[in-house]
Amino acid sequence: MQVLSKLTMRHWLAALALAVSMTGCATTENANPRDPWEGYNRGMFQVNEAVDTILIKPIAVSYDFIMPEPLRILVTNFFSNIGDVMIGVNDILQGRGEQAFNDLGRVVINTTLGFGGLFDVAGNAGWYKNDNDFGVTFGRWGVPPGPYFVLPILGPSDVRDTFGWAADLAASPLDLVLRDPTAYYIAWGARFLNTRANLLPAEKIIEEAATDKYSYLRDAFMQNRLNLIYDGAPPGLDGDIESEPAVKAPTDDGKISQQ
Amino acid sequence: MMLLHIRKLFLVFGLMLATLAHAEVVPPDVLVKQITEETYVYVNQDPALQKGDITKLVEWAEKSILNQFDFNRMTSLAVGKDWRQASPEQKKLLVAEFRKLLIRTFANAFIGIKKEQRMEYKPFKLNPEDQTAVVKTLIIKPGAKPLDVNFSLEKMTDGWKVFDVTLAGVSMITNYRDAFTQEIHNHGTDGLIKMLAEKNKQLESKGKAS
Repeated sequence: MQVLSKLTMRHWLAALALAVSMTGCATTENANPRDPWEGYNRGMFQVNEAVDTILIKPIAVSYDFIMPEPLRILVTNFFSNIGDVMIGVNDILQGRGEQAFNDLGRVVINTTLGFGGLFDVAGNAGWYKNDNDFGVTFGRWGVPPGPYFVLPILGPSDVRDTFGWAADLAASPLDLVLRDPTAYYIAWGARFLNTRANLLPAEKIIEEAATDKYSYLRDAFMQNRLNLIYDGAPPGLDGDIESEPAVKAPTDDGKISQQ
Repeated sequence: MMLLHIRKLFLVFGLMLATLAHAEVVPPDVLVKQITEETYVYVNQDPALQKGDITKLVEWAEKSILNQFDFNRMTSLAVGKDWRQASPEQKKLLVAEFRKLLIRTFANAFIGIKKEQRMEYKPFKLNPEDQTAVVKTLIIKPGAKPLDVNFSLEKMTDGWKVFDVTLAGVSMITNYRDAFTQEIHNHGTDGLIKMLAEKNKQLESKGKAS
């Protein structure tokens, strides 16, 4: 592990500690039970939005404009291939043998036949990329998510996934691939920018769909994490029957019957 | 010889009956495939749509596929337990406004789907007694992780209807619940209706400007 990732990790843990200490004054009425720090979170969300609007998004838009799409896909694939290593490791930690075989197989195929991961040869052959990280591993091991927590710059998270993210960062083999610190920094910046640029189309949809962007992103984050931990079948979400006593099966005229 | 013919005849007759019975109700997986493929083909044949002409896509959807969606159920799911307290008139207004917002969101999502993307339909099994079903699909896009898109359907007298769509586990319907609940608690059901109407108005004027 390099000094850099350790240092960054310490920063984030300090930020976390700060956030925890700030929660005393941050309770809002009608709060989501999973979001007791809504006051702080909304504040950090606003800061992130501002930083994004002023700085990050304009750069991402320029990047999007300059980079031809095929080239951008190469960049995405390169970082995605490095990411697949830890996805595979997390698969193993979670005891998902078949998925680990798929994800580590992807690394082998794409690193060799895909020219160091520039081409997703495996994906084209039906070995699709999966999503996995330490936060999911902790979740599957039974660690509860804890309160929702908006990270500086990076956005939606919770306590468990913040630790998960720190573990992801510390374990990422990117510093093994790029030993020169300058190259490492540049690569990190490029990855961040590339990810942000890839999010531009989705952002427009969310922007138009959300009545309250903060809670829309928060709830989407929570649903998405739950879905990953429960492998696409989270409990209680199927039709939402338990929290939905009023809604019964539709009657013949297509209306919702009520109790 | 004669017996064999009669048997054959029965068999053919039986098969015809079976197909007729099935023709009445389109199974959920077939329905989802029809809806998505129709939309995909429509979006890709028109350069105006590729550039993001939402209005045109919405007009087409109203005529062709939207009767396969149950917006009443969607709205009640999005509102959650406060739905019970709403008057029939309020419910009507809520459905009307939420429907508008959702259709626009669906259109926005679909218009972003490009030619080089394709959809994969996961294996689907339906038991005869099932009243609801989930059809799982995957959107495959070069240079990105495949996106899980699931359609939840319910059995109605006039066939199966979609009442929820989830992207990567995020329901496009229940994702609104916290925001809606908060608005109802702060400003009542009428407040929510007003908020949705204003949101729609703002999106419409934005559509005209661009």
